[in-house]
Amino acid sequence: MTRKKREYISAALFLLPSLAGILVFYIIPYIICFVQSLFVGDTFVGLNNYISLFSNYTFTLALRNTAIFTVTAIPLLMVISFLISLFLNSFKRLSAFFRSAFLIPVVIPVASLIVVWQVMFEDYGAINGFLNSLGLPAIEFFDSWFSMLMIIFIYVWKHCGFCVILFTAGLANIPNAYIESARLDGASSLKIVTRIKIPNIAPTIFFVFLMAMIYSFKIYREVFALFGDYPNEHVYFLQNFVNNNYYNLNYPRLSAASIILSVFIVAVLLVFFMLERKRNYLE
Amino acid sequence: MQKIKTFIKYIFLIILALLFLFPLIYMLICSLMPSEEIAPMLDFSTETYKSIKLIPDTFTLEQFYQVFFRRSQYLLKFWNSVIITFPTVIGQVVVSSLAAFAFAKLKFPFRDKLFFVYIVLLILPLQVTLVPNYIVLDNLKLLNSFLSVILPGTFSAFGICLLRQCIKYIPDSSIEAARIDGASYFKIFTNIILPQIRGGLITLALLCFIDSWNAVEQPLIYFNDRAMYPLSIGLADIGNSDYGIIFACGVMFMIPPMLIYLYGERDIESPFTTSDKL
Amino acid sequence: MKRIISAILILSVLLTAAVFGGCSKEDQSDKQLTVYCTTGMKQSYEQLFKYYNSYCLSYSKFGRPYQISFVEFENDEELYKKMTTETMAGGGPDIFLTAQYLPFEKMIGAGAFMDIDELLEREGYKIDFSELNEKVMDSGVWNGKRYILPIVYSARVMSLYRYSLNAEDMFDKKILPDKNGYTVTYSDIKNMLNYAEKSPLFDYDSYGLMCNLLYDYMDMKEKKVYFDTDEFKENLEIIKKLHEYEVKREESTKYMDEEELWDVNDPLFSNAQESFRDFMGRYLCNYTEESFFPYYSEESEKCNVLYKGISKKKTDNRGYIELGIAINKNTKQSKKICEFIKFSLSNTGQSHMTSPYNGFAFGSSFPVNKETFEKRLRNAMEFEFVGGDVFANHDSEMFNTYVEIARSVDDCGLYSGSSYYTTSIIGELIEQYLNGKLPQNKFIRQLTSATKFYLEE
Repeated sequence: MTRKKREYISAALFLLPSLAGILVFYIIPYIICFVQSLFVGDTFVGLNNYISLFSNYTFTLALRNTAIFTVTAIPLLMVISFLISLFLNSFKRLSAFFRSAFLIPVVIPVASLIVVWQVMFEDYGAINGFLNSLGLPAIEFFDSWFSMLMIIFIYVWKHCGFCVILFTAGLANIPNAYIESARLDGASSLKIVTRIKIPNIAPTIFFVFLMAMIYSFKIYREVFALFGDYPNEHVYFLQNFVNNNYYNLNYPRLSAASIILSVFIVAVLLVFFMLERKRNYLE
Repeated sequence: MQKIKTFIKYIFLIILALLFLFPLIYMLICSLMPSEEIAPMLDFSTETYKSIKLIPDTFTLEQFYQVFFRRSQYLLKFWNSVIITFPTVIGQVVVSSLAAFAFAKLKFPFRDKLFFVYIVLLILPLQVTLVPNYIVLDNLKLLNSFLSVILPGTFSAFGICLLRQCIKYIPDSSIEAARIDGASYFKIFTNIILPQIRGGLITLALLCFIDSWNAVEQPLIYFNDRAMYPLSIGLADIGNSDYGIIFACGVMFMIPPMLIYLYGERDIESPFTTSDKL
Repeated sequence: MKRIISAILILSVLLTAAVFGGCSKEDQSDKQLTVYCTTGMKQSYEQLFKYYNSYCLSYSKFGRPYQISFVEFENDEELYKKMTTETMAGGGPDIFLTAQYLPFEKMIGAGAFMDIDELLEREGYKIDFSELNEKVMDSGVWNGKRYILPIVYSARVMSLYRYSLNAEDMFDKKILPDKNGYTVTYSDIKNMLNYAEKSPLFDYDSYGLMCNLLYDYMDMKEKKVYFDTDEFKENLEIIKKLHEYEVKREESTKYMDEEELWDVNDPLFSNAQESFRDFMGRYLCNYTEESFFPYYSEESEKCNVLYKGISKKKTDNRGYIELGIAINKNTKQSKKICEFIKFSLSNTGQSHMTSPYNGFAFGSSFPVNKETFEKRLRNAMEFEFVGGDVFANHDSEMFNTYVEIARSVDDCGLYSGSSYYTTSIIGELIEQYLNGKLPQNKFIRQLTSATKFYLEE
């Protein structure tokens, strides 16, 4: 048995539990979903489900909202956590307390915080009370496009900590030599950040992006807990659409919507992977 | 000048930290208030603005007493959460570390393409597989048992991606040395890899724990029996009935993740901070 | 390595096919038709289909396989979940009843139901739809296809105590006319609100009234909502007031004992639907109780007055389907279902479905079969009850008005009172609004968006 073959077999053995599980619980369901999206009950309708989806007002609304959220919240999260990690890095020593303060929001379960958000954001909640005392009109966080803002806020608040840690680690890995030499050459701080730091943590950026994307879909849990099954039209996401169609027994539509969702994600991912290949950092 | 700058920086830091910690602090404080104070706070129909009370008028452990001794159904839900989460975490750590080792250090054909598939599956939102999973689980006769939530969670690709990053930092040389000494891959795995990615494992455990702890969609659909619902669903229901204990329940719900976090705090940061090159 | 991987791929495809195509073509000829129900409701359903089942066994050549059997579940939630997931997987009950809590309007769009016209044509059955009340049958036709088959229907009427109306001088003050068949609209109710404060207007609860109001301002077939009109807002206010009075009354009578309660809760106007329908039903079936007659006998001074309502406009005559059936698209028992349909629309079937003995309280509903309708009318006309001093005038104006209203129903809604939509989708919203926790504009906004999403999804 050649060494290579032994390596292959060992790899297969290591992979076996994971592969088996993924096959049964992820790949097969995905295939089922795809097949189901081509049928209505027992009759084969081909792409009819997809076509009718796009002419469905609620679906396009959900798609639009999800896209808006993804395009706004993910960059926002990445930028803010990057800035915070830069800020934290500028301290000579930072006590563990501060480092963990940012990670706490991740640890607190969604359900525990719902009431806190309600107290803060409700029409007669704390924030509106504050605005009122300044003489400004109240903002209906639960009923207008501010709902989207509120959700983005919760999303950034919750996942900042983890991204900050990732960025901090990435920044700490840049050899000090680079920064020192740049400083000696008289580069301004801004130039150091943009020309040295960012390019050197490209893999970290990619990883943070991946995480941010995963979490952007998990935000549905907060939306569901705060708004229930039928939120207002500004925070009606694709997950709402899919979930409600499950309760309304509309499986063809549900499967088609899920497949479209997954295609959308794969497309974004492919784009990013291409960019990474170009830089040749990942593999 | 430098001192003032540092001072401002520290102030800013404290404000930032407070911003992040505020909901937690508020929740802790509210859990110590008696029901009479909480009820008006949560009644959103009266047209008065709520102010955030930071200092309770009376300091009482009444809510916790209620949760632990009176409303035992919440304890039951808590245990359901535990039953779902612990096996999931253990399972994921085991399965993912094995597979991550294969992806990071072993060479085999299709490795990168397969990994891409894994990443895609990872990002796939839950809803895509939610309903077909139901069919699969039904055929496997696993519905209405805790396994229906534990098993899909165990095989999530999240752990593999995370651990692969960690394992990549381990220099190939140590593995080569062990191979030359005739160690089997499994021995390499247990003796060399595992100790070095301790931080990664704990991070994975924590994140997987939190994810499972918060799971809402799967139990709702896969469990028929209401008594099996975990606390993550139960807390959403409390909001409509028992206002008083909602904070105490929230605190109780929060304790296990916090404990794990505090236990592994140092280790969490290490895999991301101790590496020579990315 | 490549071979192993391709083997895995092929295996997974085969597995998928096996899992997905699990429902093989078993022999269906011996299985009975299924209806899903909860243990609590089983008895009522059994009563409902009792005659058909015995017809299958004794009077026809069909035998057991044509009978309807019931699959029991412990509670509503389990029933719903099992029903939905089995339907998704290709199974499910053969027959759905509109009395069950299901999102019928959505299921039609999802293609869960079979087109009944097509089904009948395919199996070669001919049903003369001109024998049936067209307007009522039309309400089961969505987008040109017949998905729901109404079997019995009912009209919206109210029967009010004449003597109490007189006592409050309602007739004199011209709030309501002393005439059978007058259409009560929401604005009429508005004029009666001060009386509502003292005692219940009807035995309807405000929740049921709210549901009917919502159905009136919503078009499920066209997927349109009309909640932003001023009219709707006014009517909402009215119902909310009624609810407030109801709650206040309950509070004040919480500790009263039964006798006192009787006096206080004596509605100013009698029950809008229940006891009147009960009575009328038995009347139509030649069986009734002496105690009811004073209220419905013209010669009695206590005779009630019959109004149409509550309607949106004076010209409305909206009924509702009391019981309808929809056929699961996955069913394999087409022939048996066709027989069942044929039976339930035939004369014998209809008379038994609308008999008060069937336990499902359909005695007061009207059959869709025109012949049965007229036959029951004739029976009732010939019926005479003489007992003591009371003499039943079967040819009373009130009775005739009622029959005329039912005969000329021009549109039938799917529901009256609560349904899946009002409980699961907007149940919380309604509760919050009625209990004052939600201001009206917010309620309308959330209601509109939730309903729009629900109808369109």
